[in-house]
Amino acid sequence: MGRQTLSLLQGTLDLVVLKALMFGPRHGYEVARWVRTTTDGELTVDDGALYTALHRLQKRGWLKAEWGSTEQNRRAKYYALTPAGRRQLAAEATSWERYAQAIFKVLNASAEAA
Amino acid sequence: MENVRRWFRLGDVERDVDEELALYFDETVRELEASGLSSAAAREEAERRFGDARVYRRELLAIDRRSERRQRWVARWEAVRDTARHAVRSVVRAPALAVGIVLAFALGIGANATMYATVERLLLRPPPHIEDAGGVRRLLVHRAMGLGERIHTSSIAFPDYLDFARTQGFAQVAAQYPSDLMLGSGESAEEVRGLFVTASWWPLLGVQPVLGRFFTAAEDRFGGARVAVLSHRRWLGEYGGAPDVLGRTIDFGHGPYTIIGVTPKGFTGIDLRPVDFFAPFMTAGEQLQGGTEWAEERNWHWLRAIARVAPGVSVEAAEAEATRHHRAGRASDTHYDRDVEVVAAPLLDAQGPNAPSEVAVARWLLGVATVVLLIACLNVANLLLARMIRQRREIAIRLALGVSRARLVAQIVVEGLILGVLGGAAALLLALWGGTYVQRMLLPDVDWDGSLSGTVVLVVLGLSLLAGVLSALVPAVQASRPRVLDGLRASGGGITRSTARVRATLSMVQAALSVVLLIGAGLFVRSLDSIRSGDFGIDPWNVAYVRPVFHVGTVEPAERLEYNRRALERVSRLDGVEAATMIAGVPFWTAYAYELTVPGLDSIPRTTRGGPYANVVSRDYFHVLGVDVVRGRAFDERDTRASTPVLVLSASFAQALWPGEDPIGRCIQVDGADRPCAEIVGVVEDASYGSLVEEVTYQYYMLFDQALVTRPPEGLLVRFPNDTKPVLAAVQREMLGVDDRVRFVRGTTLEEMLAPELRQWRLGAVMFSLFGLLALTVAAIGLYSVLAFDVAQRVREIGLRTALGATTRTIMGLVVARAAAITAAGVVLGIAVAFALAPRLESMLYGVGARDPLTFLGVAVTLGVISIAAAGLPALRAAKVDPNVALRAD
Repeated sequence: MGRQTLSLLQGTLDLVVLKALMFGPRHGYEVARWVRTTTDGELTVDDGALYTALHRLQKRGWLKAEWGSTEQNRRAKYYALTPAGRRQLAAEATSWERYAQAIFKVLNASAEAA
Repeated sequence: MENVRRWFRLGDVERDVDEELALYFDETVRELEASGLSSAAAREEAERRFGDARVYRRELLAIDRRSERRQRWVARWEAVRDTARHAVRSVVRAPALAVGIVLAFALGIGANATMYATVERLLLRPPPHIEDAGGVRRLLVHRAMGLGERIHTSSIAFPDYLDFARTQGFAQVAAQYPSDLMLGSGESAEEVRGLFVTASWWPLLGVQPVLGRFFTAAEDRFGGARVAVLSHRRWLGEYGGAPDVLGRTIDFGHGPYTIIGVTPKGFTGIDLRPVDFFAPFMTAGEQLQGGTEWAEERNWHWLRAIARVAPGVSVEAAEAEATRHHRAGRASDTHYDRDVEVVAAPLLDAQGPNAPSEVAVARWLLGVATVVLLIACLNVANLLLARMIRQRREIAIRLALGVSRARLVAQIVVEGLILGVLGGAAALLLALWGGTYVQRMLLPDVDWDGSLSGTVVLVVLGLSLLAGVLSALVPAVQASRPRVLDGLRASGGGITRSTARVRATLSMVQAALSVVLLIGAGLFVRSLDSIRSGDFGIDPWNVAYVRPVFHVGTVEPAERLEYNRRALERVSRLDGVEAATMIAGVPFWTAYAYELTVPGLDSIPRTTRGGPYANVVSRDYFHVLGVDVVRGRAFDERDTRASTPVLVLSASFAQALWPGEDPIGRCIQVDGADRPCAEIVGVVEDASYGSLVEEVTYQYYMLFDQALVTRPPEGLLVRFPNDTKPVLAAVQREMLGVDDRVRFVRGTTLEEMLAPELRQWRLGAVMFSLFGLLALTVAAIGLYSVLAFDVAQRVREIGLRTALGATTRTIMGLVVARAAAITAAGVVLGIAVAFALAPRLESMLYGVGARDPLTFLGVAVTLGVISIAAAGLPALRAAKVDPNVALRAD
């Protein structure tokens, strides 16, 4: 994996992780499971990378973490979006959508337009 | 999720990451097993999904550790910011209190800055522009004067200087002689300060000219070039800093000197006394003395020498060698001290054996300034403590919100620091002004503008921080005591009692320190008073010394007598002149000694101060100086050129010569055994001539008319019935008119000549009084604040007492009694301290004991009066408490 791909991947990964927490606090395993089920396993990314993203985003102040208990009464670290994280999610989602639309237009372009 | 959450704990990063990952693996394996995989397959699949666990774990740890470090800094910063914010808010919310505290600090720190700047200039900093000032040595001679004890003298004869210059252990040796010169003539003559220095003086000090050059050895010789170097001060003042000043000439009355250079700004040589001109030692010496005899004369001690010790030679070795040369040079002088020693003393006089008396006083004043600051700190502590009690509800709320005790203490300290620094800034302004004042008062001969050095600014900053912390200490300690905090939380009156004791103690200590300062002030004031009214044998007030200066080469020494005789006649007839006399010896300046022979006595008695000293005078001398005749008569019209020569002796001299016998009519031969008998006609009281406060010296007086010795008069002493100044100018004019060979007439009052001697006491009196009053004011305000606060805190109690029938008098009595108790304790403590310190002050006082009961009593009474005054307002307020209101409130 070249650096270019990684950083692109990282940006995408951040978006995915932020989105995963949009509906409420989750711990790491829950995030990983949500990503897998939502993408039907299409996204081939290490769950370890998801954890790295979680910690990195926490350090940047987009996520906050609190220790709580799972339903099985196990200690777990729950991540939640901070207001800054929520803003970041909105911004990244918008730019990702515009990017995707632009690519989509390119793929559907006809020769006359030039 | 509703469970009790705990904050993400700092630390244990590793454990947290491991726990988080363990949960992932356990949950994934459980889920996969549930979908039918074997335990081993599930484990394998989980590891595949996660990726390289070791790498990711390391990455997670790295991120978390960085994050944790940053959070810790943020937490710290937030704590500081929060503390500072609370402290600032606390300061701003009570602006009147803040202003009061800043003012108290400003006075306390300002007093210290001023005194420190002075002591630094006097004691610590070498004169400016001297290269490696630590290596410059003043050459002193440690020898016995007459039969007296040894002293360190800086005055040496020119041949002595040549002996020093021969010393191999000195790399460089130079000589200097200060001489006040006159420019112009008549009434417009201007006195300027000259310094004659050898050519070696410039390279020895390592100073460089800002304009032109300094003179060389080729110019510094008999018949050498008449060149002069201007001081920067003179250059700016008289020549407007014009660069073309080089080549211009100045005339001191001996012909023109060409200006060849200008010294750097502020350069005054090895002393701090201002200088206008520097001239070559040999050239100017020959001109000014009208000859070169002084170069051979060993009995005339007039110049001063400095040296640099040669590299690799110890100061002791150089001193020993110089001592050898000095003793060899003096070998033929039988009256000279055989055991004389040469001392290479430090450049800074204050560090050497001849420290001026102001130095001791300045040191004391620095101590006094410290006490003033201490009082200011105590007062501020008291104010902060009172404020803390007033804010106890807010403090209680903050404690309940979980603010730690340490945070609370930190806040109080930060508040103290803020106030301290503000006070320090104000103190700098005060010190700028104070420095100028002290310079004028204490150091009029010092070329220093009273400006503040970087060190002083640093000292002020240090003091500000120290004062801030010190003042916050007492309230901070109180705040950190759990018992007090419990009291605060309960918002009850319990705490006020415990802190009330602390506050009363602080106030008491302030009173005690004020007592000490005021006693010091009182002692110096009384010293100055005793000096002014003291009996020194002479009465120096309202007497002036006038001296004619003739155009060079116009008047032979023998003609001076004739001139002065005519001048005396005319001056005596002037309105506003009570009496006048010619003198050979000028009081506090010159004294002469002659060989005396008394028939029937083998030797002449001497005192430890040398002598017997002679003066040649005219008839009214004793009247002019207010010296009383105790036996026989003073000189009068019977004593003429033709009559038998007569002498008047001082009482102790007469007593020493003929113990218990009548000296009148006896014979003394002056200036040789072959001279005719002079008959003693009178005995006068002993008088101080060397300095105001001195041990007895033996003195005798003779008349110019009878010419027992051939010494011409130096000038006249004139007594005025009252203030000297207005008539002095008329006397000078009259003397100018006597003869046109007079270039100008110098006039000074004896009081001016004595000013440096009085300065020590005047300085002590003024500065101690100033600081003492400052301390008293601050202490009185402190006492007032304690009492006022007490009354405010005890409103309910007072209301209750009033309701139960206490009279206004009883209530007011309560407050006054408290003030009296605090003050009395302070006075007792202060007097005890002053009593203990007394022996150290003794040597600086005159005519009053350091344990002078009158001074002690006066200060005690003053404190009593002030304390009752401070109690007045709070007592009235207490008396006005309305029980109806008081008992209903809170």
